[in-house]
Amino acid sequence: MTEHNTDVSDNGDTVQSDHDDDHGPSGWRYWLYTTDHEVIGIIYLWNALFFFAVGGLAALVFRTELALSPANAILNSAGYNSLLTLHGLTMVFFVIPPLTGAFQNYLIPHWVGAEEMAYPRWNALGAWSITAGGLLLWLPLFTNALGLTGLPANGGWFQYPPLTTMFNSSGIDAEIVGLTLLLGGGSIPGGINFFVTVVNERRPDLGWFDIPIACWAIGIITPALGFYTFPWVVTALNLNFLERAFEMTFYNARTGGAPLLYQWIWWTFGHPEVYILVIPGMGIAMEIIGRFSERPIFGNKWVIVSFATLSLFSAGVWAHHMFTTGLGASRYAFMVFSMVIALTFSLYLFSALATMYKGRVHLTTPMLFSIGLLVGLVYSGMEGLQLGQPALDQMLHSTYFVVGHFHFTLFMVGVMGLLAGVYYWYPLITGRMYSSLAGKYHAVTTLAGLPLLFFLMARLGELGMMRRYATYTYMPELQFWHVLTTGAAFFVASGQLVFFINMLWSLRYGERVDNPWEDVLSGQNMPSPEWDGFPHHAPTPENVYDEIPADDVDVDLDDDSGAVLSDGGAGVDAGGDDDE
Amino acid sequence: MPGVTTMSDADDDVTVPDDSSFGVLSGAFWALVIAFGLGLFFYDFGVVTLEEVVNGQPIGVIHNFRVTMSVIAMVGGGGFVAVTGWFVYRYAAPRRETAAKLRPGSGRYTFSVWSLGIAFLVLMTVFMGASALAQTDQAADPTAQAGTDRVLEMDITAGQWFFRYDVAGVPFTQGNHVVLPADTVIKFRITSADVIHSFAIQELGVKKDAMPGQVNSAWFSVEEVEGERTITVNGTEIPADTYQVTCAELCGKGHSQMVSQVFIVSPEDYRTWVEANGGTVPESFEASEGGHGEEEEGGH
Repeated sequence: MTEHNTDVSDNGDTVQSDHDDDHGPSGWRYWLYTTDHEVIGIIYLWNALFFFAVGGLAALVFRTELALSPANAILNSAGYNSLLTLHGLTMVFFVIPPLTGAFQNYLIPHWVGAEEMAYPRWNALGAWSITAGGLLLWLPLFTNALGLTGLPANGGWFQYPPLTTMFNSSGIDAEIVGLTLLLGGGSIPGGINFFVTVVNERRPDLGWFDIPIACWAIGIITPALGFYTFPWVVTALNLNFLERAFEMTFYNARTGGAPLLYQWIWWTFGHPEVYILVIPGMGIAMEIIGRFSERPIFGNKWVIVSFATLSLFSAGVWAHHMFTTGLGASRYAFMVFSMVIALTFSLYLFSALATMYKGRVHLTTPMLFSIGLLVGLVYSGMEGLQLGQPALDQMLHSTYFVVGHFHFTLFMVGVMGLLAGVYYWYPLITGRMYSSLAGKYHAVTTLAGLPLLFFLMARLGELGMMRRYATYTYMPELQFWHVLTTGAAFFVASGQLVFFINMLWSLRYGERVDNPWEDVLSGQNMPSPEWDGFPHHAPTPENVYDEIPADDVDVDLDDDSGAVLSDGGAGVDAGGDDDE
Repeated sequence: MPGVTTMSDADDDVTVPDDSSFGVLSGAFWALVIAFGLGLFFYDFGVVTLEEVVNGQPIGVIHNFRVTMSVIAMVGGGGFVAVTGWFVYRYAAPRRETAAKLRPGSGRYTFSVWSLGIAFLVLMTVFMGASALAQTDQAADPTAQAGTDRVLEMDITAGQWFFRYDVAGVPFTQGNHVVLPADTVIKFRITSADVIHSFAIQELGVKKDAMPGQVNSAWFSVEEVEGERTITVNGTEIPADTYQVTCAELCGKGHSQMVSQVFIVSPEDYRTWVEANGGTVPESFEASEGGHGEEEEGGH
């Protein structure tokens, strides 16, 4: 950390060293009272990793349950529903957003040359709202086990009323309060904070399109989408709370409410939420792909356009989650919007691939995870194209096909990109290097294991396995497929276990480094502010090359034969593309 | 010195956690890892195109459309992943000396071509999807789609945790199972007594939510009976097919046990069954008896 601070103070006129001062609080007070964006970023990171482990373990428990027997084995059905709900809520709200938040907090000021966040105290509130919300979500599981309260939330992650309104347990109330704390207290102000920091605290010499692509994704687009969507979900949940606590009527058909109302509000949030979960990873991956392909990002502005349009469109496709609820002609409209989103994703994918094309691809751990994200995005998209069609959705909706689809989206795109970020910036944050070999094992289990796991889920869905079924006694022959799926889940989990061990072990014993990517990336003239400071310009060909390749000269003039090198000797100088 | 340090990534150099872990083979190795996932993708989407489906609607329309979409996915998505894997192999650093330079503005033309291509595909899926939806929709003319004139109406009430079927002409409420005729459009209305449920027959491509305070409707039909089992009526065995009904919306702890069966019998046997139970088949079923559905029946 010390080394890193020197970096920052070198950058320009602002010296930031608050948290190195000796007179600050120490021990737990240091963490609890801090308003330092780096420290808060680390609090976010710990929270996210903790809940990633918890949510993952929950998944392993009910996957084991499904493999053991078509009937109930370890859990009863209510317990299964609870664990499933907690898994979903944890992964959606307490893992990906806080992991994004870790980078938002830690890196945004470094990316835009700011001294601190625009609202540091809000920021601290956001960090602790994760812990508080997560505890409220999970505590009922333990109080229930002790016989003190009813079951924790068990209505699925989207908690449709009237099931959740009628469900007589404090678990739902605790969960609503917990999510309100997290989203209302943390995510909404947090999003405003990040957005304002980028807009207002940016160095004057940093142009809009010089902002690194990852910062565009996680510092501008994601927060903007967040403070548009989170008020919807807080509303949906708290109308439910009012109905539960004060017998008001919003969703209960018997007293004149409309159950469908909840779904409209919920999915108005719910679909953009998916993009809140994937855009950060996509931004990080694009940043990494550019750097480790030794090529400027192909169409830097187009990628930004892609992020902007896909978040805009994401706000208009929500009813494709509700095709079977009895909607009429609106299904046609929402089908068209859902298909069109493919266009915006394809811009991103094309740019990523064109960046790698004829590049010099360094298969480092962060790069592997970024490539995994591209692949995951395609798989998830190809399944999504089918689910976005109301005619096909009649068959696929609410089966394991959907489960496979959104796990591709959330894990193999969202989490994958963020893991790439963890591997990429871990040395920056901790000043230490992790074991690359362990990172590679993690990459193998994740790149190979996730398609295995999620295509097996899709297959289960096609064979007739319904989503959220605690038992499948109606079709016991599915057990074979469930056993395979559970096996794949443990294979994936083994990689995540290695990841945790690697991160924790390296925190203490990893080799001290300044910038582990220096050797790989030096000479490319593609600096990024968090490593190299300011002034910073976007890695466009104009800024990267001394001599701009002429328009009419074929790019292939450089050696792209891909010949295997016979010795480890010096490579050919690519022609004045280095000025250090 | 500048710009060439990349080639010195020694295997034992921990601070360069790098491409050289697998040496020159690293590109091939990771391309194989990607190929493994791609194989699974082709398996999953390929199986769909080979599957045999029940003679019925709307599954017939759904299946055909799904095959087309899966082929598009395998060519487009599979192609993309294959190219990604190829790039990983082809351009992996240990095999490459330099990266080709990116020409400024080179994106405009290629981006346009790419986007137009994707836009064309999107447009195709939109038109195919709209047509498929119109064919499976309750607003469409199901009798034309199902190729029969017979129509039977049914009311479904879902509750925690049961389906209750009331079929026109049958003088009693059928419990958790329902007997229905083949070669007939079954139009159903569905509502819920408590929370949200969903009536699903996966094999027939039917899924409609049961919402409290709201009545939804949909339809389905089965062309003919294969007679995989029998049901007994007044001591006579009649051939029937079983279709699994599941609840497709989380509805509480009994959700996964909220299953039911539809028994499909031939129209003649259905009439026998109804009359044996003291009911009369409704006019919509009667009227067109002897219509074009007839020749498909009769011979069990």
